[in-house]
Amino acid sequence: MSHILGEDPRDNPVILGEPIIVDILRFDPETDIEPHLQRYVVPYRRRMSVFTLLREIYECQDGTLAFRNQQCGRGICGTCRCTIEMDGETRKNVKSCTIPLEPGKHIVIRPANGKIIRDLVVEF
Amino acid sequence: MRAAIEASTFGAEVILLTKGQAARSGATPMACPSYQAAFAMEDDRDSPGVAFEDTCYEGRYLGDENLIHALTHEATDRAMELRQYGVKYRLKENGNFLQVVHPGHSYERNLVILGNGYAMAAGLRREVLRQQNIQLMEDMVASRLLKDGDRIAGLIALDMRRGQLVAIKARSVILATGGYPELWRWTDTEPGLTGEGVYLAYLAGADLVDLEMMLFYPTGLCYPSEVEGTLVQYEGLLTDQYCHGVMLNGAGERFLPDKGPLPVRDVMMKLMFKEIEEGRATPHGGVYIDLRESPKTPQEIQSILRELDSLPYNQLTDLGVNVLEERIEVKPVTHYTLGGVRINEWAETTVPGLFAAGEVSGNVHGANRTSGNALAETQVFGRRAGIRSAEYARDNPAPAIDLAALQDEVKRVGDFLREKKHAVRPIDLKRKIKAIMHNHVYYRRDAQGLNKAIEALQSLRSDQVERIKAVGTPKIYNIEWEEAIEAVHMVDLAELVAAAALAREESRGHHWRKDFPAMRTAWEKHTIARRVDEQDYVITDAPVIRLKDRSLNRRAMDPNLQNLGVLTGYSQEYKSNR
Repeated sequence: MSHILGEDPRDNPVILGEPIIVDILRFDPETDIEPHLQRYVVPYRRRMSVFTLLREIYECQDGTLAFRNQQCGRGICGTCRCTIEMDGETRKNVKSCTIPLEPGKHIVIRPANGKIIRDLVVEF
Repeated sequence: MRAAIEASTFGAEVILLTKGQAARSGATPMACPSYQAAFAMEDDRDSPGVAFEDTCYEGRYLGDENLIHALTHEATDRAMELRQYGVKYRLKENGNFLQVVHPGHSYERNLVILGNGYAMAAGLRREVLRQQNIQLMEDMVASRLLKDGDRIAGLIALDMRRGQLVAIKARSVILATGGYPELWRWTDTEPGLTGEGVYLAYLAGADLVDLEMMLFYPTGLCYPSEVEGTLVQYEGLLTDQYCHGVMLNGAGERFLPDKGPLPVRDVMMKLMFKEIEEGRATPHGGVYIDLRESPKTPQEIQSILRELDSLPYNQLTDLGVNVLEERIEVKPVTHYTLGGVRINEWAETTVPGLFAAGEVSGNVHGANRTSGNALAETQVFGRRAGIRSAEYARDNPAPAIDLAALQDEVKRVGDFLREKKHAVRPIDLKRKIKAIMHNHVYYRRDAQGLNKAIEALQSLRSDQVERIKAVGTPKIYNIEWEEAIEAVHMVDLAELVAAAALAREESRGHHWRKDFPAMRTAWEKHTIARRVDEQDYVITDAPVIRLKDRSLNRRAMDPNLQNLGVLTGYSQEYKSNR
């Protein structure tokens, strides 16, 4: 499935619900000693999964965000694995494309287990 | 990966580059479980010869028959090798392979791979890791092929993990990079399939063939948005042997032929687009598949889905859509690139030392492809390319690297990170290319639209390509940098596709012209796209390679399908001599 479905999402005036507040682990081995969390506030324009949330941030807010972008969209390939904190619960190494997000959620996204290449991209 | 295994077994030193993670990126892991091989487990009448005739006919006699012969006659042996690599097929109670019939197969011919294409790719990867002679390099985005005179000398790639360009010297290069469904908006394939392999071969001087032929898979989900484009197998959902669901238009009416077998993909996509075009679409622009109208019980359907391919349905269930209780919305999506790099039966391109196997190659299937032949193709031509490229590497001296070309490329790709006035983001360029292809080079084409597309792409190139700019830092795993490499090639490749579509003045298989609605005998030939120089290309043609005299030996179109009004020209020109 293509991630780029025509128009720039920012041109879409439809808002379905409260924005999602997300803290994402950022780490660049060339410049950072320690990883840090960066906060994004993402408008809820369409039904989203955790993966499509990352796409939305990359497309509309921050082109420097690194995450694995080759994906099947079907929960098969596992390239979108990450660790998620949501509703007071931590879910390790889950496939982010299979996790739906409701409007107004606050989540934290960290990389899956493995050596970090950058941000959410790991060797596994 | 099959090519690497074969070349390594032959004794060659192999470097295997993958654009993402091996066995997790590219087309194969996302594939359905279908592998076509004429084992005749279900019906003794089947044979490689019958598979050959089926493939020629369903490809609308545009596939090169020497390639189809290799494909259909070697698919079984390659399937057995996959089994040695640990790939498992669904078995029957007696231990034989289960084989299922899909549209276009005369008999049950598809093996069902347990765990889909993902398991097949995983099996190949395990075998790659067992081989001593293969060095695997992942997250590598090829940006240019290098040449030494006429022959191939290696390539340049962006190493995403280190954030730098890498040059690799090689006596021979095999392209197994997949096609370019990502040139369009609606696709069920992996987003990395942006067509570099095809375009890099063109830049190196190789002939490209039948670029206008992009296969539309009839049923990609168009709702909900999390799974837009996900493929569901209509073959399993609609045929009476399996789920026996029905396809309905937005008004809830049936529109598929009520007699005869379920149509193959080119006919299906035309029938569906006709409903959509004529104002009978569903709320999200597709048609419905309704399993509630199946004569089978929900329990029966559930167990069939589990048998065939349950993954998309599990995901729909996670998203709150129960396919047994509500209808799903689907529309045709780009799925498989029929066109590509022109090869001979040994997977050799027209450039010495350059080979191509799988979807990246062009003249295998013709104007339409039946289910199961894509995975089989990767194995048959992967092995052939592996053998021949290893021989080539053994028999030829090491090439010299053209340092000037190397420096130019390092500068070109490095410049994507440089500050620019009125910079253009790679993703915005991709969006524009996809919009042009969607508006003018979609499933129905005409000269006016195709000319507009060519013009629009040329102006994109002159206006925007210079200004393309990825974020400058960090360099490691810089997605925008990768997208810049892809997008710049996509502009040129898209123009070649539009030009080939303009040249083919007929409708055949997945190429559907408004202004030339009929299939024409005179056009039973390939379009060839060839580079002339930096600025120019030519679109010319070449005959289809035949093993049989098709003026005498050709199958007639099913009369049930002829009467549907989407297959002009098939009836007049096609004689029945079967």
